[in-house]
Amino acid sequence: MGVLASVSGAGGRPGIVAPAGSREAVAAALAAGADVVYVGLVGWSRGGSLAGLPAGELPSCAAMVKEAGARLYLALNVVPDPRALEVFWEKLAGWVYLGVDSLILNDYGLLREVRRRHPGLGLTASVGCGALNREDLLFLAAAGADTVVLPPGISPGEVAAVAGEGMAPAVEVFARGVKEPFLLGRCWLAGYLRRVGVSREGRILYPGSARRGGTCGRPCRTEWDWGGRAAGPLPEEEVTVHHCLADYVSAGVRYFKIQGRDLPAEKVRGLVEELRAGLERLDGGGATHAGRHP
Amino acid sequence: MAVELHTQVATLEEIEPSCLEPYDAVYLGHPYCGRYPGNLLVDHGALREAIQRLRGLGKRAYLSTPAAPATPELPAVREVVAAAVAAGIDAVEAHNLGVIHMLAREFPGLELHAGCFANVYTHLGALELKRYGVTRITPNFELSLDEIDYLKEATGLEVTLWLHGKIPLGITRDCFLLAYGECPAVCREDFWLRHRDWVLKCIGTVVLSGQDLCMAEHLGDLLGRGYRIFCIGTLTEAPAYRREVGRIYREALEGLAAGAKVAAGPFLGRLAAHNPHGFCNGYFFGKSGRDYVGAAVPG
Repeated sequence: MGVLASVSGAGGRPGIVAPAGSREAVAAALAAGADVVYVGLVGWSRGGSLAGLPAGELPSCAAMVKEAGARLYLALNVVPDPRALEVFWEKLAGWVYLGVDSLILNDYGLLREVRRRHPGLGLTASVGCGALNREDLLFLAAAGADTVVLPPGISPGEVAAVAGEGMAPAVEVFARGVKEPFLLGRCWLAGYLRRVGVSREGRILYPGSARRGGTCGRPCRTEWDWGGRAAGPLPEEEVTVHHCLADYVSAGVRYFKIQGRDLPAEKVRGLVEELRAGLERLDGGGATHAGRHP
Repeated sequence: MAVELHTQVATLEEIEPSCLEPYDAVYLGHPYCGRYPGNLLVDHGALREAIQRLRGLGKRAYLSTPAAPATPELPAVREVVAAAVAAGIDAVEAHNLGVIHMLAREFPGLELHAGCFANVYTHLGALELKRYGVTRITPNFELSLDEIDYLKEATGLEVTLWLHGKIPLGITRDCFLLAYGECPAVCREDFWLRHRDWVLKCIGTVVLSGQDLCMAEHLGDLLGRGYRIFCIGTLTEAPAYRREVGRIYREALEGLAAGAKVAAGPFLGRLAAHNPHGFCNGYFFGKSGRDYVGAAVPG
């Protein structure tokens, strides 16, 4: 929990957590004022080569982030094979040495062991850890998380109930994202329907969801026949908190996350600038809530 | 360790001796929808009666709990667990990490089981749950048998394996069926989603596999690997399904226990009568979940 005080945004406002899937996106996020840049690594993070950096680019990205006075988070949201964890620990030690400030993990089992091995490292429990309520937050805090990501579409009222009073991990919500048909981290439809083999790099991919290193492919977006009564995908919704930022801040949000490590650099820059402008209006007392919540 | 064959029951009216005869234990309550008519997680009087009836039948009674509760719903979870404990429940199953955290604090000593939505992917995750008094886990369905073997050995926890039933594949807090009918009647109907050769079953807040997971012809292998806790998934299934599928597996288990050579073909033929969409078991063998691995031709 020791890193909390050092990672909020400028002037005490909530931090902006920006995605980057390339060096250019890292630069764009920093130029636009991100407090945290999160990256993935091919083979260890969801999204494959479209959203993950080659490991060789991590040092230069870390240097860019440090130079800008921001923090670098590494999303390790593919659950490593438990039978080959030594490889994971060895790699992790190297990434930490290169300057990663915090990890984003989506297996709650890893939290405690990473905390034990790297006590100074920040730990974020990814949305894939499935936190929905106050007790989830306390469970994940006890395991070692100092930040917990809540699912897209959660209302300020729900955030307030989860964040609660007293000591707890910091709460992070999606500033803009997609509320998918199923709770994030609670869907294994892809691994049921699709067959997954070996990657182009020759790495054996687990059959299964993206959290297992497979590919999702969004079968939920298929044109399903609904019992002969309708046709269409499982319902999903784009959500944003921009119209009620103040309500989320009052509810206890410490970080706003922008989804999409696969976004092009210019898009990342625009999204960070938009969010930063909204938060700065808050600082100036401007209206940022309309009483309409997701 | 003795074999335990268990199943699921959502309502008091489903506590039917002939349907439950093949089972050693029953998980009570519908964990995916609080509005399901007669849900034992909502009606505490019916829950007490259900526990008493199971006791009378000589069966263990376990309580399931809501799989995805928001913070305001936690007090109701606490209350139903308190009612179940007072009535003599043998263990409580939780899918939600927060519920496990809360129950460990408020009901010290209560035996806890982690359900399929607890997302146990690694032995480290299972060990984290063990700290809270969890004694039994249902590994995530995506794991292969080899991975589950490792998990079992590394943790010493009891492991539930599903032998048969429709696999829960995803959960939401927004009922998908409300667009197609009135609650609660609409989820009493069989509602299938289809796309080419893909079939799913929607029960409102959860989508299930269209095919039945079927491990009938691998039962000997599972016993040989040391598994003894088996589930027949029957939530929202008809009474005949619960009764007949349970009988078939009980018969197979007893045959194997007696040292008989159990041919899978006849069992599969009988099981096929209970699902028009065939069988699957691929997750267990490191393949697509909807694949069927086995020597016998299913269905």
